[in-house]
This record gives sequence, structure tokens and C-alpha cells, in this order.
Amino acid sequence: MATRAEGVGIGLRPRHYHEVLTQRPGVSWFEVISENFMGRRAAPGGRPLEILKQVREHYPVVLHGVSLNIGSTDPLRLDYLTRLKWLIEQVQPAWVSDHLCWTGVDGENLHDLLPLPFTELAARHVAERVAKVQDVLGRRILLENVSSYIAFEHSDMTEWEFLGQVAQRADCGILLDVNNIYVSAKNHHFDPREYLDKIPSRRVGQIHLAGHDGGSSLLIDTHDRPVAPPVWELYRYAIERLGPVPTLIEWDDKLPPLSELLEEAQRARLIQEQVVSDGGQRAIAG
Amino acid sequence: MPSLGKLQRWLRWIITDPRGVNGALSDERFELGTGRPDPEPLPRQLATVTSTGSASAAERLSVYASGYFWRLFEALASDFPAAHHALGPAAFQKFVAEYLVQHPSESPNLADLGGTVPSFSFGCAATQDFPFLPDLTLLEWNVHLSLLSPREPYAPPASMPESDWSSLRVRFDPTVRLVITEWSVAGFWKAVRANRPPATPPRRRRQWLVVHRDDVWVRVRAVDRAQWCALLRLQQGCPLGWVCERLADELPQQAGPSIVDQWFGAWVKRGLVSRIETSASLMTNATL
Repeated sequence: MATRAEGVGIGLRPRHYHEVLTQRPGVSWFEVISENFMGRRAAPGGRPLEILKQVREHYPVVLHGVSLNIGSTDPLRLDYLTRLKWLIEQVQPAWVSDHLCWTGVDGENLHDLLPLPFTELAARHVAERVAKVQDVLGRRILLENVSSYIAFEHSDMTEWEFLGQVAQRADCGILLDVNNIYVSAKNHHFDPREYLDKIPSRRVGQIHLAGHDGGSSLLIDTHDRPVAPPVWELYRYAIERLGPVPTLIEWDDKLPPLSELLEEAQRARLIQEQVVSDGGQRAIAG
Repeated sequence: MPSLGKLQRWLRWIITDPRGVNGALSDERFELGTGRPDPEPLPRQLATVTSTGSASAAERLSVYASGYFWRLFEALASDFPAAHHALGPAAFQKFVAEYLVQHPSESPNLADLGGTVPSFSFGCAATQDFPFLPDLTLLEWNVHLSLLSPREPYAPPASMPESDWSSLRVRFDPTVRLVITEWSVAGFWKAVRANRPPATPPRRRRQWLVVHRDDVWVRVRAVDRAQWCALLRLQQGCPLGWVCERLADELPQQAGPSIVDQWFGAWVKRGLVSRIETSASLMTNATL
């Protein structure tokens, strides 16, 4: 049972379960939403975990959470961390990730990835909590930058400085979502390449690519369509700077046939191969 | 500069307000999340959100407010597809909006969101037009729980002294759930699941239902009252001998022992029974 996840993976979603199990497509690894496989409080597991264990026999798997609520002022939920740790033991993932955001407060969960103010105080708050999470789980985690539609007047640093500070203080990894960088850059008017230039590259353990909706005054991170051309360009720039970081094609809504996801994965793989054959990390070398 | 906690409470309030962002922002009666009269007008809080370029702060906040409702709507529509079908999109949307006000999510897992939908359905406005709604949501929630429950591995058969028979206790698979409804919702649910839109709504007719999961998916079967009661008593830990005695009292004399054999065979075949417990050991049902 292979554990290392390299190259390009795709998200494992129910629509594709049967095809994945019966045809075993040529994909390097799968990422799953952790919470979908934890089961309920009283009864861990269930049918989704049975499927995941079958997939895991043939592919490396990565756990990606959406409810760690790492930026909240609520206490960390030990019941949640206990269930996550249990799932980690069941699945033996290549790595575990969640988002640099908050998802709820006062015990209420909004089930959204809500942005934090980029302040020294918030960075310290989040880093302390990440360190505790890593202690409980007994492993390093990766934190992902989220797409955002609001920013706060009292932020006193850029998003990449905030992400870098949290990762440095907590000694955690970074899951860099290139689509999210592009979406937030358009919504908040910053240069996405500067983001990639300034991020601590050695901490980046994974990249996400996804589609977004550009139909209104704000770009919306929808995960319901192919990766947009300017995001592919930004991805190439990211690989030039960071090297062939394991990359995921993330698609959650209006799921296409599996073959279309595999085509997107193949495109990412080709970009990685081209950059490597062109001489690799030009931005760093330059 | 608001504290992080205060900022998060304010955003939570704005995002979850069923009137939408503009409705929430125009309401100055409440302080952030406390429900007390507001000594600090909300527009001052709004100044913490940057309004630049092509979108105002309210437009930006609306992305989160809209995302909040539709994400939770889709989760409930996915867990209660037959109720969604029965009510139709508009009425189900109203049902969800009312539900979320009274039962906001408190779990990290969206799979827990619908846990109080059946009890909420009893008193909600939609039940006046759809009186079968509490029963339908009760069935759908039990289907959901069965799907998310682990199945117990099937233990191989072992021998058992005949003298232990009356003291046997049956352990059912954790996916088995027993549901009783006043409306005939099982057929309606099955038709929706099979993508065959039901022509008529459920009728008022009591049903004794057994929900369980096999290797493929969740099954719902209607059984007669006697069988359902026997299952319930066994599930509650009553000894098999005692359950059979009760059945002998309740069923016509000629039906007694043979019908228990038939039922038991069917339960085993369908994977409802996980193991048989005696005072000495655990054994599989196959030895019976």
C-alpha cells in the first residue's frame, strides 16, 4: 500500500467511486475531504469509509479538512481532532491539510472558509493553535490559503506575509492554492506573482488548482468548471519557482466525467514536465 | 480595531441573517451577537470591511451570506431528497431557512446538520400542507444514519449447546434501524430514490419499517407489526426465548414457532444479524 503522493492527483468524489474502483484510472493519488469519511459522532466510519479503504488499497490518499476552524476564537474541538486522528490511523494518508481561515464561532459552524484579518495578533493566535493541533495529531499539517471576497481595514500585512508568519511560527507546511491566489488577487487588487515570489517556498508541500466563476464584479471560487487559462499560466510560474510540487485538480460541483478530470490532471503533469526539462526553478535561480 | 472574537461574531451575525446582508446591516437593534440593544451603530462595524474597486462591502459580504445558505440547503436536500421532492424547491427552501434559524449547525460535520429535522418538522409551517413530512424526514434521517454506520464483520459459525437457546441474545448490525410511521412514506421514498417521481403523496397508513445497509446500499422494508415488535425487543436486548413466548401470546397458535424460524432465516440472509450472544460466547446466527 503506497503512502507517498507525488505528481498530480484528483479529488475523490462519490460520482466517480464505481469507476475508480472498477477501472483504476492512471492517477497518482486521491485527495478526500476528511469530514466526509469520519462518520458521525456516535458511529465512526460507514459506507464512505468502506469505499475509501478500498481505494486506499490501490492509491496513496491525502486528507483535506474543511472544519478545523483554526482561526476561530473558540477553543479547539478535541472531539473533532480525536476523530481526525482516528481517520488518519485508518487511512495512513501521505499528508493532512486544512485551511487558514475560521469556519465558526460560539459553537456555531458556518461551513465556509472565512478570512482572517492579517495582523500580528491573529498570526500568533493561529500559529499557537496549529502547534497544538500538530501535537495532538502527532504530525505536521499543511495550511491552505483561501479565496476571499472581503478584506479588513486593520490588516497590517499582506496575505503572503501572514501565511508565511503562521507557517514559520507553527512550523507547519503550506498548501498553496494557485486558483485562490488568482481569485483573491483580482478581488483585492494585488499581484499574484508577487505572492508566489514572497511565499516561503520550502514550506510548500502541495498545490491546488480549480475553476472559478468570473461572471460578476468579484471572482468566485466555485470548483465547478475547468481551471481558467490565466490560472494555468500562474501555475506554470509557480512550478518554475517552487519545482514540481504535488498538485491536485480540485472539482466539487457540477462534476464532469472522470475522463475530463484526468485530462486536467494530465495538463498539470505536462506543465511540470516541461518546466523540469526547461531547467526547473528559474525564478529561484534568477 | 475590533477584537478577533468580536469581528467573528459580527460576521457570523451578518452572514446568517435570513433577511440577507442588507437586512442585517439596516438593523441597529442588536449588539454583536448578544441580542442586547446596540450602543454602537452597525455602520461603524462595516468600516472594518474594505470596500474597494468594483464591489461594495455589502456586496462582498453577500457572497458569504449566499454561500452559507445554499451550502447548507444543498446538504439538507442531499440528506432529505424525498422531502425536497415532496415540498418542491420553493417550499423546501423556506423550510430550510426556518430550520437554520432554529437549529444552526453546531457540528464540524455537515452530516450532522439534519439531526433535528424530524422533530422540527412536527411543528413547522410546511407540515400543515404536507402532514406526512415528519414521518418522511424521520425515515430519511434513519436512512442517512444507516449509511454512515459501520457494518460489523460477519463472524464464522460456531457450535452452541442446545440448552442455551432460550437465553440467546441477538446482536443486530449497527446499520439496522427500526422506524414506525403513521403515513405510508416508504414507497414514496423508494420512488424518489429510483428517480421515478411518485404520482401521489403518501397516504395515512401505519407502517412498521426496517432500515439497514447491505454491501450495496441502504434498504427499507415494511414488515408486519409482530415481526417489527420482535425485532425491537431483540434489539433492546431481550432474550430470544422471552421474545418467542411473547409472540406465542400475540400470534395465532399455529403461526408461532415456524414463523420465527422464517423471520430469523430472512434476517440472517439480509445481513441484519451480526452475531448471537450466549452467556458463554459469541456465535454467528448460522448455527441456528
